Amino acid sequence: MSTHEELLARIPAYALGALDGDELRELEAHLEQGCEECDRELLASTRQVESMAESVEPAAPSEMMRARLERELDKRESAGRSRAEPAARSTWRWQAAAAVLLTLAAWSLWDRSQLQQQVAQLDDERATAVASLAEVQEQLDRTQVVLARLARAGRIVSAPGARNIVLAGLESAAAAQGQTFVDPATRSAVFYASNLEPLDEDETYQLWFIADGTPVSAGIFEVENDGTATLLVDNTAALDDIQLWAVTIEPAGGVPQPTGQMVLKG
Amino acid sequence: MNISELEDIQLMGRIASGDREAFAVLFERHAPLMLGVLTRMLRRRDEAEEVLQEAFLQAWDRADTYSPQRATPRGWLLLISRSRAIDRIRSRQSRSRREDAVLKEDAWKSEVEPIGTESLEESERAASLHGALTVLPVDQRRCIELAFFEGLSHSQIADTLDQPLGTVKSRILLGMRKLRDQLAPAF
Repeated sequence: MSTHEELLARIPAYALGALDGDELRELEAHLEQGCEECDRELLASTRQVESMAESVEPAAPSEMMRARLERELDKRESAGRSRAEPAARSTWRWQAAAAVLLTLAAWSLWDRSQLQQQVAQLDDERATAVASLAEVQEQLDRTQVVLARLARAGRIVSAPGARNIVLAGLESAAAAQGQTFVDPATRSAVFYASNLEPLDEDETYQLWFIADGTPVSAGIFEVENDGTATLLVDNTAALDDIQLWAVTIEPAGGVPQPTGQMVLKG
Repeated sequence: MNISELEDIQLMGRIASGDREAFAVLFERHAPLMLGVLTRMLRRRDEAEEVLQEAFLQAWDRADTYSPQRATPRGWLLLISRSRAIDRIRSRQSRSRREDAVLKEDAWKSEVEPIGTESLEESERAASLHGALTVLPVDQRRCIELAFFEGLSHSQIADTLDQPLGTVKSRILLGMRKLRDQLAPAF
């Protein structure tokens, strides 16, 4: 059991993420109980971490990521897990219409079963409308993502100073070809490949660049039915530091360092 | 007042009540900084975006537990997202150890630096970026960078630098206190 002074001294490391095991659990339990002095120390330490974070170059989240986040939030709302969220905007008109119908029905002494039938029908229509809306929204999200990717690829290829690196197919994929266009100014790249064989479900292609002798993952990609593939890459190393681009076959989901067969290199 | 003009703490209050618009403002305000840090830690943009999404969803789900006494909203978001990134890094490290033998195979032999050296080189490169850290003695700075950028724990830093655990702990504590003195006027 640690003393309060020992726990207090652990807080800067906690804010940095350097604690683990029992030390971490003991401090979290202490913070959970409430301790003003430790709260003050944590506030000062997290501010230091913020200040350190400011020294890192920011990166804009992709449209794909934004769309995924929106969908996850939609799911949470439709599952009714949002805390005090008012009724979803897309359904309020239906609910208002149902309320008006209810009032009218009571006022004109409509038959109760008839009213229930109409409300049920209204509910069905609402459910159908919400489902259609979600489907349209998803299609729109996908289209926007594709358009944004095409526009970005176009900007990279036509950027002043953009460089083209040709990747040749190795023995196991002799017919495959690849090209990487790199925009040195934004350190972004677009990779295009053709004549790649489809892979089993538990495998994926993974693009790498080797900078300063170290392979860095540039992302995983899927192959279209016609054997082509495209991948946008952010945050490449400086162009002059990149010695090689390569594609390997890896377990689905990709790996932090290359382990599988290399099929393209250049 | 336009919602985009609200302070972070006011946004947190609205988010705790389920306000998606306030959440969107907070996201636009802080996601780029967080993604920069996560990309730097994980070195994979796709994985960094996954962690960013998880962190913001956690923030949405648990906004009512946010305490302004312990962190600013941005500090809280960084704490959440870095903690998730660190979990991934540590699980990656244990997987990497298992795959160690495979990593040294054929095609990469001539092109890959020995495993383990990249962390230090990365930190050294990072050091030039971080003006605030340059006020620290090299030993303290290296320990803090390994924790902040590489997601290493006290004991992993001790192994990496081949230093006693107690030495690493005190270097981090002293370094963070010194940094706080330097940053104090800004607070």
